[in-house]
Amino acid sequence: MQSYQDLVHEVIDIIDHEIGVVDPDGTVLACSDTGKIGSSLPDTFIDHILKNTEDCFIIDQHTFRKVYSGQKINVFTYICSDSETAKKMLDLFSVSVSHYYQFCLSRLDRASFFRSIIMENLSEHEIVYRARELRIPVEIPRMVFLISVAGADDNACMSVLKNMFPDRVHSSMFKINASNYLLVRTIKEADRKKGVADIAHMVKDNVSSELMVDTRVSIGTESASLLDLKKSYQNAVIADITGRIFEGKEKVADYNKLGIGRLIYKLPEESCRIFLEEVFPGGSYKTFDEEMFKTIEGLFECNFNISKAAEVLFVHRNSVIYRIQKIQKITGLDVRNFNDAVIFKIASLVSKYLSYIDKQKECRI
Amino acid sequence: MAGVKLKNVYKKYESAHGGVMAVNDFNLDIEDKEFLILVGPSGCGKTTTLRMIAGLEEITAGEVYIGDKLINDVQPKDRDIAMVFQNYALYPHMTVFDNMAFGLKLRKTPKHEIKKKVYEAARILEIEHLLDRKPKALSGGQRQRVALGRAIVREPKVFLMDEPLSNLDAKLRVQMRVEITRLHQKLKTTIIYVTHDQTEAMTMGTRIVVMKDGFIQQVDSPQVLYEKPVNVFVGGFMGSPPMNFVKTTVKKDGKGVSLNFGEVEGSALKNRAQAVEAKAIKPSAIYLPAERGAKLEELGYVDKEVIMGIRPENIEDEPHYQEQYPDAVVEGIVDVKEALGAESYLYVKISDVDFTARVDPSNKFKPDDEVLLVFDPTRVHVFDGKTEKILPV
Repeated sequence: MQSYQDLVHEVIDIIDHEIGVVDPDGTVLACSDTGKIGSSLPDTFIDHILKNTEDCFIIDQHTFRKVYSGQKINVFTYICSDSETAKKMLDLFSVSVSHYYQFCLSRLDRASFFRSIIMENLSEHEIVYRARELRIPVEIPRMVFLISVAGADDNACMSVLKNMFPDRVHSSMFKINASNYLLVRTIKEADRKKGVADIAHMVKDNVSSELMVDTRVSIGTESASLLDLKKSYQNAVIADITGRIFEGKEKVADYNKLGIGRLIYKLPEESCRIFLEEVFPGGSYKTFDEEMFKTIEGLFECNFNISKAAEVLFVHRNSVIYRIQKIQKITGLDVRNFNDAVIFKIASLVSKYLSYIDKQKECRI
Repeated sequence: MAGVKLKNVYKKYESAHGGVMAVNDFNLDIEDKEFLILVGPSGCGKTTTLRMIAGLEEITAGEVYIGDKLINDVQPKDRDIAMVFQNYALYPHMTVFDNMAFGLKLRKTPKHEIKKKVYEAARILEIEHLLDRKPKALSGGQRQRVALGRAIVREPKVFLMDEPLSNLDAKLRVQMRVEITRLHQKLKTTIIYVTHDQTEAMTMGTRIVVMKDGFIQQVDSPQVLYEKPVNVFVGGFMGSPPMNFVKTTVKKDGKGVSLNFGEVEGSALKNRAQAVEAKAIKPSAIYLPAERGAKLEELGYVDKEVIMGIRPENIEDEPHYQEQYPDAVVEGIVDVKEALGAESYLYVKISDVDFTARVDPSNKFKPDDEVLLVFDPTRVHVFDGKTEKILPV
């Protein structure tokens, strides 16, 4: 979607003068001199602008034009020149700004606004300005939920989501690509108490049962302000990817509960490969069967208490010992020893991560 | 209505080390109108199996049939099934009628048909009087019924329920257990129900599949599973409080074949041997009825280790059992007594092994009392010490 700044960029090569858009409070929303975006016009300018009854006027060699939305002044446009030619250029630019604003009004509902924040590079000032236009509070805790639905009918999916969260003031949802939807939701104290994961599970179960499709929900981080919302979305994406890598079976992934997977995901690929080769020379881990990995998991769960692990795994204690010895024979790691166990655990996660990277590369080829 | 058939079904989750097999060679014929329960501990593959039937999870290998139709490649929405999940949510701004009609509207069902189906489902669920209400005006049980109603209106061939009662409080869960059982009787349709709660499984299902590590352990009616578990896992999983297990040595003497525990052999248990010597721990022996003893001997288990399992209700405290089975009497010390009103649980130490006995609430036992208990030798389960499988005795 275009923004005022995009409009400025489009005319910047045609108009030789500085040109910009200012909100009624005097804050520069867009400008050909990008350094001025977000700054305020000098107070003398603002006083003149506000007091001036003309639609077009000149202040200190700057030509200004009011752009209306109905009876109300929406923004001012300006050009750093008082020449007639410059004035005509400003008139044309103002028409574009006005049309753009009308265009936005016609399609910029709350959901579109949130989409713009998340998917585009809106400036902070533009976010605040548009939020004010749409009467959306800026500083309020929100959370982004990334909902991955494979093969569902678009309208049906949106319909389920909209009906689950009918309160448009606190919830907005929109589609971002072929199989992903976003839910932006205000987080209330009750949600925190109940746990935001409950919301995610509810969405997953409802979409799955209504549409009979496999559904995954990833939870981003809580954003205190609209300005952090994009970050919440980015974290939801990380939760989705790391969830798929390390917890493939789980259908809900929470960025705040990614555990060690979060760290491994951020490691450079080369370091991971060197580490894995160091721990499991020649890919020795590939000879392990799933029983081995289940045994290790069980031992971790039970704080390396073999008897307890045997109980949890529903196997004989001797079977656990036998498997531990087998792992030691192959890798040289005695997982009863804390250090070795930690190395083994990290190495197995790293191997999952590298496997994901390899698959991604295959897909690209 | 239709049955469901799973033939050699496998589910493998790919991973760096070749993958984790979540479901292993699953073979099952679920009959039309059956109420089948999949039960097992977390991670045993029960939900994965249900999701494969639904089509929400790809099948790694094998075949799934609904009725006579192979559905491996049929889209979930075209499988004619309805799912009920744990985290249901009613649409807050819609009436009960609209909540139930919503799924049908999405499927573009004609209005008159929607109305007919919703009223019929409401009649079955006895919520006709609530159709105009909004969810916030409903009790927990009524909401749960509406959630079921959303599945019923679809008139599916098979209902799949994935722990639908897990989020309810204990009281409502008991109430809904009965409601769902009643619903099955009214609908006369196939229900496949996943739970980790063995009480739910025992009380609701016409047949239960006990799973562990992706493998079916046993499939049978609740009573048979309870009375004749095929291995230690099933014996321990089904029943609350669970079956008592103890490792015993099979011995034969003039009185017959017995299961012995609390005895000490080998130097590693020197301290324990001393304790036995000092009579701090008394060895216990349960003599099996002649026929059972002979079978165990025939199987070559004399002087070998077996696992004895006994349900709490088969440990008797009434004196007449001591007369009936004088060779199955053991001495124990009461650790804790739990009075539940209709029955009491005695947690006792017998030969330094913990046991739970279900006894009559009228008994006067208190902690530290010495008690004589009878292990009903006709009800004792004997499992192989290594394979943990039941022995045919």
